[in-house]
Amino acid sequence: MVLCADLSESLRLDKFKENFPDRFVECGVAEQNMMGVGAGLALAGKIPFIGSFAVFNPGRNLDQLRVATYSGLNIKVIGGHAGLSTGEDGATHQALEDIGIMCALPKMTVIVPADSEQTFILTKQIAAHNGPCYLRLGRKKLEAIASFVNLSEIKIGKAQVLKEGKDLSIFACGLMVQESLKAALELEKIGLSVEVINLHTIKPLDEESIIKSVAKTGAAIVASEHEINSGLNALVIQTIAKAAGKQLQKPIAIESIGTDNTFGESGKDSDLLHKYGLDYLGIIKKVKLVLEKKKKLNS
Amino acid sequence: MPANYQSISKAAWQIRRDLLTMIYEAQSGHPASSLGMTDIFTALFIGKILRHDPKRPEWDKRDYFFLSNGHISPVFYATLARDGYFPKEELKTFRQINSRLQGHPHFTFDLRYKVPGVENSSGPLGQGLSQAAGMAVALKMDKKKNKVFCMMSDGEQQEGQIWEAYQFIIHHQLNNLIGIIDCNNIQISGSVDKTLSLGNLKLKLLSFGFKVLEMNAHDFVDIFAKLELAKNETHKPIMIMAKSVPGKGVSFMENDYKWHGKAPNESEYNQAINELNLKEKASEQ
Repeated sequence: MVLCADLSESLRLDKFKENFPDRFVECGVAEQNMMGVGAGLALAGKIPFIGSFAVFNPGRNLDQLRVATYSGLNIKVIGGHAGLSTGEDGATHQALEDIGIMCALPKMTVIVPADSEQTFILTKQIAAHNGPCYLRLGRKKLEAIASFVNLSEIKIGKAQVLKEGKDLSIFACGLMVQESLKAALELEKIGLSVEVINLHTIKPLDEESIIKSVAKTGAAIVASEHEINSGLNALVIQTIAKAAGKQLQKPIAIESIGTDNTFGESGKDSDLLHKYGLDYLGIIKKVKLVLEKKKKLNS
Repeated sequence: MPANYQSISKAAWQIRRDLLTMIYEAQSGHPASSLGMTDIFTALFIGKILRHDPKRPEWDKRDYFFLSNGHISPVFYATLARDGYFPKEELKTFRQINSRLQGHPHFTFDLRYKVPGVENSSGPLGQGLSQAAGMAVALKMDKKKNKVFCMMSDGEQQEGQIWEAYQFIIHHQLNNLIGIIDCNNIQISGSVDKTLSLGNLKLKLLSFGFKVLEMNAHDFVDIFAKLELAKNETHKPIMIMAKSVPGKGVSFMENDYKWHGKAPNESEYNQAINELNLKEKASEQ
């Protein structure tokens, strides 16, 4: 079933509404009630997909979601228009903390697909997964990952290694995956071997793949369209820190890409991403820094 | 007291003793509204207003009871236990570590940890009605006849989500849903009127499009009449405003907001139990 708070066109739910009117519930601009209704439907054994913008869903209805999650309900929260790339609407509409919020909830599965193909596959996977899930989506049209690399299988909870490398690892989610691949291809031209890993599932995080990659490369860049003090960045760094002295014998050089203790602003999506260093040029700058660190650590 | 309500009334006084004992032993919990809603809980469960079977809590033809003001868990658990959902012994574990009987009710599908009879997690005010509405939508989708009851408090009406839910229920004409609002005019800090007045709640509900019934929450004749009327309504969604006395049955707790969320000490507890014993005896006359 699909529940929506007056955003079915923005979230591209119109076709579902047209084809399955009996399974579409319009809730109006009332996100708290929508989450509660979703909980009630899940109590009745339905699988509600609850959609709105990420700033409201889970931004406005977190308490309702928290209680539903506490009950272990099989609900799917779809947070659309997340991140700076929401663009002209500005900071009030640009969720940069939603991944952190959702990862903080016990038992929540948190998914951030990198293109429409992945969104299609992962949406079907979360429907089949019994338990609360968050699917974070963006507004910006994105190039298909398949136009950069040959794709390996994508599966909830399993990191997707898009490109192997030995000099450094880039861990990314969402639209930062494309930018990471662009950066990696640029850096290849100057002889750097960059590993690019798509961490589409942020919770549960595929810690093993992260550790295995940095054990090989000794350097990591974590890139997400999100605050760096929580979400993907914080969790990857925590994973690496915990592995020190156990699976990791050498210190790892790390740099972060994301917003740092700031809200967004209005502007064109590409201009905003560039301003905040969330494009391949920003990544290349950080690569230089992280490789300098790595050199120091190894000397 | 009409003879046919004698056993119900007796059960209600016993439940009041049980719930006060739970709160006293835990030295934590919410006595006032629990005592105030005891007669209605007794009618719903033991009086079989709800179509339900304590021996088959998952029966698919049951009516659903959603508690929204989860802090009155003592009366809920005490009623469920007395109705046979689980052993009364377990009431001793209320609010204790490793218990199913959480301070505010916890729902889980996992039958090892599920409290039989509890249909939803509640506590954060304002949420239960939306959950009940979701259940009502699902039942209608599946063309099922089960009813959904939702218990709320009057202080809870201050939550914005409640009013979102009212709009939703009317818009979707969820006439399989029956709301009960405990109108006891207390909340943690004082009277509802003084804390944040609800204005004319009845007129507000009528203006939304509800059928509104008013009920004396301590008169079994009225309780059964109104609940039966509500169950047989097939046209409009229903809200029942149940006028109750918080702390009902314990003289020093009645109408005193300070007993919203406070446990009695030993002498208070003993006095309360004495009073409830006398009331129980009187109900047998």
